[in-house]
Amino acid sequence: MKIFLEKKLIYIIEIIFFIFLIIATNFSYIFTRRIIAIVLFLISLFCIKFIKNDSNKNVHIKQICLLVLSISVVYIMCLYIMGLYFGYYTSPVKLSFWSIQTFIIPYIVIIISSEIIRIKLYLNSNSNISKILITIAFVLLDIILTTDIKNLNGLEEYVTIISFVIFASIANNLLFNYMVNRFKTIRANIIYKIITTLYVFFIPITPNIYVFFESIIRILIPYIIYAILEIIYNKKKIVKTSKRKKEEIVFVIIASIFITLVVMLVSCKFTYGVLVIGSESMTGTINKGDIIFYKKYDDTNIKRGEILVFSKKDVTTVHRVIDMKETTEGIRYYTKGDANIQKDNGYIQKADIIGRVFYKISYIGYLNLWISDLFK
Amino acid sequence: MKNYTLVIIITLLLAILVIAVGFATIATVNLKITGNAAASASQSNFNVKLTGTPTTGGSGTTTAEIANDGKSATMNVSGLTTKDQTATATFTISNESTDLKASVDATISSLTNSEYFEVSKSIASSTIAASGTTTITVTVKLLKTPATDQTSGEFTVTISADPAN
Repeated sequence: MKIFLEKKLIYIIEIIFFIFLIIATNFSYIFTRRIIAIVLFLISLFCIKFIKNDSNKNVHIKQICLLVLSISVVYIMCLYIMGLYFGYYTSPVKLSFWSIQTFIIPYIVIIISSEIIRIKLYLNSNSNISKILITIAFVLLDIILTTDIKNLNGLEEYVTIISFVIFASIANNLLFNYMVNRFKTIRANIIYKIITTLYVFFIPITPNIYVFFESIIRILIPYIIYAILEIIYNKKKIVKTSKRKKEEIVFVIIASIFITLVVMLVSCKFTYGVLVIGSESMTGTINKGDIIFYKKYDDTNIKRGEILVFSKKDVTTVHRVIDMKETTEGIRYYTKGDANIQKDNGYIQKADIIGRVFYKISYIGYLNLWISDLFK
Repeated sequence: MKNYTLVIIITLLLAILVIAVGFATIATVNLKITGNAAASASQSNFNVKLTGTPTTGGSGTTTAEIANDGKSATMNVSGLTTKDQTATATFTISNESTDLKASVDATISSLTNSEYFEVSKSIASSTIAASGTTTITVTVKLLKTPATDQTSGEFTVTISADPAN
């Protein structure tokens, strides 16, 4: 009877938690960080009082906390090392009395309270649906804390939020659930969250990493922590035939190389880049929906007839050079889309050129165009 | 125990692929057609020309005159005696099209006495709205002295205009 009542209570807390998060999403101007912190603190107190936990704690807790602490610090260090390549910007919020009471203290309360709620609900919940709901609730909490989801505008913001916040939050919360489930502790989760959330307040500069890369790093780090913990603490090794093992390793290596190449090309931050063609101005040569591969412009001479990727007034264009004129201000390149009647307005100069097109693949970009059309 | 690791790796790789598709889509949005965007507007009345009375300024004596068809102008400068003295003439460029913007540009060429003179130009706005105007200021600077009455130079300023969207 007592167990039955406790299960009921868990469902009630889950529902209250969920409803609170939904309301907070819709009234973000009322539910500031401080109010969220207070509500979560109250829910966590309620959980401590009414839900009892399994007292069998893992003997390696100290070791695990130290390991997670080290990985978190190495992760932050890697971000700053990457900053040497991408540059830095001054942190928008500096350490001050105001930032301590507005951000740091509420964040610490939110982190600790939410992890208490997690361990109480997750470990006492028997149904998978309930566990999925808990995970969704925590993802929702991350979204509320980082984004004004009601006022998103345009495809770019949606893609950024999905990649940078939602995917990263799913990966993090799966790791936190795993650690709670496997080691029966929330200390490691709290350490990881505090370090990775609050470091920006303590270091006056922040690495200006392209959001695309940071999104990928943020979903890879939880997996790395999980893999390390599994290697060290999983005593039940899976028995596999050597052929199967080999096949898996080959698959993972090939897939990883492929994905790395895709990431490098799409980012356009390296020597080679790809672009999806969204217009019909080069139809015949490059059609709408094709993707083009370009090599970054290396300051060498450009010949008439070459197809260039250039950017002028923040508009990226892929057109052919039809004429050149040498002036006192440098060479002017006149361009035109193969399917256009007129040449492009004005001219471009070396500084406008991004790269030279050297290859195309047909039709692959249609998915992107379809997604893009959805937001028009 | 099931082999979760492979499942997680595949899920991660798929997630990265989805992110890549998303960011590639953002890049697509920026691409647009240039060159024939004004196809729906009437180009038959696209006409950009020099209009009004030019204004002159600076040192020495400067005269400026626009030809009857508005397609060319002359500028004469005399009396520049000291190094770095400048003379200017400002011309009005009018876009007579009622439905097309004009993208204007100017190039200086054929300067015959670059040892003594430097010619520069400045366009107030590189785009002129339909039925709008902008100005181009041509500046002649004396680079060295002594310069006599016989010291003269010629140059051409060519203004090009294209329909813009």
